[in-house]
Amino acid sequence: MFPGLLRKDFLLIKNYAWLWLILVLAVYGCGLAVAAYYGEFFLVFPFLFFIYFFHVALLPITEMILLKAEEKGQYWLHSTAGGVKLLLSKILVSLFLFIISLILADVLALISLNIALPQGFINTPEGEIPYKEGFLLNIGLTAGALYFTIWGLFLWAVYHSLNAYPFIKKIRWGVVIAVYLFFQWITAKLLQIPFIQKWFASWTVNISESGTRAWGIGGMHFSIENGDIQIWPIILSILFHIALFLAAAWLLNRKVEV
Amino acid sequence: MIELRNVTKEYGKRKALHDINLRFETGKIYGILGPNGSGKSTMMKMAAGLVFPSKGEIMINGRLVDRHIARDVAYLSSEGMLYPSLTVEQMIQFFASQYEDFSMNKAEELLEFMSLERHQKTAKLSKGQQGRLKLLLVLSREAPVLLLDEPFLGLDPMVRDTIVKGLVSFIDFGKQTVIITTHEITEIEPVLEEAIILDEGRVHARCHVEALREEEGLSVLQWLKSNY
Repeated sequence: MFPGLLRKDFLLIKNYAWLWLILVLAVYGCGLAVAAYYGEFFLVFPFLFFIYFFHVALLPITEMILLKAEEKGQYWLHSTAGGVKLLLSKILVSLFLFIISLILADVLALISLNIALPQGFINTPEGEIPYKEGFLLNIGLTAGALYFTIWGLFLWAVYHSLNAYPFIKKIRWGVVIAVYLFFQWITAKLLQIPFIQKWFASWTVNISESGTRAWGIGGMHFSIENGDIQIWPIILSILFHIALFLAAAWLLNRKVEV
Repeated sequence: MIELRNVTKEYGKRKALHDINLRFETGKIYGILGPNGSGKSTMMKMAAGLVFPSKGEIMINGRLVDRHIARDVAYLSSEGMLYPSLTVEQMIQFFASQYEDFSMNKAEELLEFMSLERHQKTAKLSKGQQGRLKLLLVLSREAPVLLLDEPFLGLDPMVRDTIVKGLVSFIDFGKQTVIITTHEITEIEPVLEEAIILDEGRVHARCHVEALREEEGLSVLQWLKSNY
């Protein structure tokens, strides 16, 4: 049953996937054209960065296209598969396209770096290809994309669950935004509690030498202080998003009506 | 057997179904008739596990209806059943992968019977062909319950005739319980055993079609008209 769902979802997204991959090549081609016109190869990199950072939106957009395909009539709910399998199939197929696209971007980046580094168009430490930074960029983009995807899934389920209540039908978007903001507010408040801060600081792993850096989207927040990364926030964030996914599946099973 | 016990469905202040009590016996073919907004589709969606009752309960073969009832119920929906970017064959394969009772042999027979081209995209099918494909997907299942919600909606008389012939040829009479909602009574009358009129979410009238013909000399259409 699950392979059937995956196959169907892949067929639903197949044409969009080809279109996107061609678009990535077209954007890179534009970058090459601009670089050739000005005779400065480094000008291709802003286009590459654009391709990379759009990946944060690519995963949730793909997922929304797949969900949109089911909205008319919601016949997909008349299924022997439960909410978990129905939604997991959408995430996995979206992730497949995301990974293929990210690999394509990585290949383009490697080609560009191999051209740019020997000719001195850009500088990297010791003139080497920054594999470690590239890997971290891939991980960061995937984490960010998954964050928006899981939230998108949950809020989509909340939005459609409210369909059963006609008196709030016109303000459903407001309710969805309020739910998101409420979670962010709770998270921000929790992070201000000294006990939580101390707990988070109790388990760190050293990944670089010095300096303080922080990354965050909404309530999810990670920081590296003096080269140490906190592990508890990562674990809790993963668990929270798994819970959010399960909540979306529960809503799909019990509350979303046609 | 399908049983609706004190089923009410409310959408805010509006009641789509009002305290419905109905029993559908195994192996019979039922027609649910009534004007638009009478609650026919809501009742079908409830039996298919897609809409939940506000009050009361629905049992199918002793099981309380929930989302998992799709194992026992093959449901033809009036909208959203087909994926436009999939071909006829891909739709058949998808249904075969989702329902254990899906018979590929039956699907092949129906494909020929319905004169459908397997490599054609569903988006390119005419409304009549889409209606036939939906029926193919539902009739290929050997589920104990078939729910057909407006199978004739927007179809011309020729296609309606094909669909009725499809029903007669491919339903397992005596084993499968079939419920059909429709406005097109004339075409469907020969296959119906019982007819129920819904009006404003309530059961307005109910009859045995054969008894109606033999004892009162009325067709279902005449009976329907006499009830308004």
